[in-house]
Amino acid sequence: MSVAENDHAIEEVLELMLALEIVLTLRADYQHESREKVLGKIDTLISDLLSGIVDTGVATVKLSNRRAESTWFDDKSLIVSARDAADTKQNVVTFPGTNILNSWRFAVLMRTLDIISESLTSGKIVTKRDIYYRETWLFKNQAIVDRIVDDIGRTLNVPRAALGIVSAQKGLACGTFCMHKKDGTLMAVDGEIQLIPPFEELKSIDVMDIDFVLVIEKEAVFRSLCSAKFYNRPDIGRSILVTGKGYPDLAARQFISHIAASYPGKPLFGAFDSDPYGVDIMCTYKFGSRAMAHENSHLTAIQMEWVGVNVLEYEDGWTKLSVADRKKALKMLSLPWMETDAANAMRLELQRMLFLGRKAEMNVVGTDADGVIAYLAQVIKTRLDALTVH
Amino acid sequence: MSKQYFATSLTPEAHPADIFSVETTPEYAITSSGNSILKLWNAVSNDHELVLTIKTTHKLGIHHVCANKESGLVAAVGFDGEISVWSLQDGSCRGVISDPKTAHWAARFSADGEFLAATSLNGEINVWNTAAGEFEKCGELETKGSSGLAIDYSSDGRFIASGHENGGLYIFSTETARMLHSLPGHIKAVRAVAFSPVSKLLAAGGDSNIITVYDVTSGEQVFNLSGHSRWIMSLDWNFTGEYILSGSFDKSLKVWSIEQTECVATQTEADSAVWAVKWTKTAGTARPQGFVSVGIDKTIRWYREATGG
Repeated sequence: MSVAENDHAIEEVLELMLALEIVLTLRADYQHESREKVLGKIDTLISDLLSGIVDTGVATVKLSNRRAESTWFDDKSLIVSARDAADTKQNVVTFPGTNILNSWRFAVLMRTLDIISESLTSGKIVTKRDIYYRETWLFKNQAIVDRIVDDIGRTLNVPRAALGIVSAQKGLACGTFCMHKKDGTLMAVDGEIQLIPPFEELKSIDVMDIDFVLVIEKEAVFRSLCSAKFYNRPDIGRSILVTGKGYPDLAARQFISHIAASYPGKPLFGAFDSDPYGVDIMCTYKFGSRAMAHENSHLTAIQMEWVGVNVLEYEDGWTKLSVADRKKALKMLSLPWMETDAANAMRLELQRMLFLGRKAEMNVVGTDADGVIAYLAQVIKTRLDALTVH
Repeated sequence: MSKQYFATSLTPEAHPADIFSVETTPEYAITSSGNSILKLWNAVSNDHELVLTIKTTHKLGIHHVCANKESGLVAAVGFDGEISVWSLQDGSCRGVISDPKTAHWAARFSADGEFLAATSLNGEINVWNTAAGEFEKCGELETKGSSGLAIDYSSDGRFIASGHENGGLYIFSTETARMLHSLPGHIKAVRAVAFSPVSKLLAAGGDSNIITVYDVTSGEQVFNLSGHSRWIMSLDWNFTGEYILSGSFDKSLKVWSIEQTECVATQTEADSAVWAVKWTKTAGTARPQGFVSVGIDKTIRWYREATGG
């Protein structure tokens, strides 16, 4: 960032501060208690910063970071949890900063707080993508927004949703079920693919008579399953199909977590690549992610079962394990939850990958789509049959 | 002429995960698995009961194990890339070989127990002196950099053979630390290599589903054994050098006659991928030489030859 840009950034911040005061005085009509609480926290943070500048000429804020060392694995509840914010390492942001970078960070923080405050006041939910597009010149890239939003959440110790922010929606669902939204609309899903809305917008999800829920890592596989009507088959019954398109967003994880909690008797299956990333994504659904450790308790679905692909069986997808894959697999194996019984299938899968030097990816190119469908139908049928026997 | 073997005993749930490796000594069969435990089973008794459990430092699991009765040592190689060495007598730790830059993979002791050799994922082969109990590195063998998946030490101590991910198959002289032969025959991963008891022949197998047999001195390929439909994971010669035992991803074990150069027995009891096989070393007892197999079903299977009449 050039000096001119830096000046621009500082100007912008000062302008924002003025604007913020106005926004803050406008907040008159909050009905929601928790929203008020959150706004109160943001108020306090902003007024601390402002009075810091007024009194001493310097504003300082400590942001909790969300790195590995600030999380721990709760082996009772099997959830990755956040350490108390006070116990974790903190990133200090000051204004005026000691360097350009620090001033820019401060500007990013203030602008984001402004947008959060605004959205909470209006009661509108914004996506992280929306925030980025509001000030692309300031934020530079989406990752900056993602990080600052979650840092703010962690620092204030409130879930991201309570800030009125959701990540850009990308999760998809298909099957037969109804979603009642808070604004009164009803989304009846009957075979067509639906975007999973932010959880905050949902009042309830009505699931018809289903036999299982299947979460699929890859969108392409999900789409071929949907067009083959995998959600309603005579051999395995009715199901809801969900994909988070790789690493899932909050909305998809909350959706799955909610269904899992509401229908505890229904099997919840996960279909992932048999590679270290597939295992990692499965872990994100099952145990939670480190980045969102402060709100994993309502995001996880511990009962999710790995149905494949299995590196021993799915040879259509075999490729060699790269050096990077090995590294990632070893890192995954060393994670604390890998020693639990709940992670048994994933631990075996990782060890077999390492032992054979192979990984297996789900393919849907050409005629292989039928192969994946037949494979999953067969594995799921075996699992369901085993459940009926016991 | 086919031979008859039958499973005399099996130990189900011997480990909580896949059993990746088995080694035999005159007293024991030693198994290693996807947890940090080595188990020593009585090879002589009929029940093959558990004799000793060694809790190692390999938290991520153990994929290879080798032992030597002369030195009384057993070595375990873990997914963490480290090698740990233990006493067969009391299970005490005798040393840990660890190098953050080298992930060790397959290991063998020399017959006299004085040396331990191991392949690594970056292709290099290291040799350590076990004598002083210090495990001082005393040699390094150069390969072409492909992951070393299999290794064997000839019984006369003169040769080391290694099998590699890219199909590389080498014989080294331990005297000069030079490569004697780079053997053709495999273009896919070589997962098992084994010298015959008198160090004359070398057998190799892997992802090409065939067992190739070479003359150690000339490096010539003498014959092939085909019959497995999938990867060959493990090979071992019986003590007379008349038979080769193989274990495969195709869920079967096979016994091959060297004289007839064909399969004389196929065992399919496991019904799941076989990771390792080994002849027992209880020679000198009244018992004919049998073998042990392990794999993904977490079960140890003991086999014995059916005696006629």
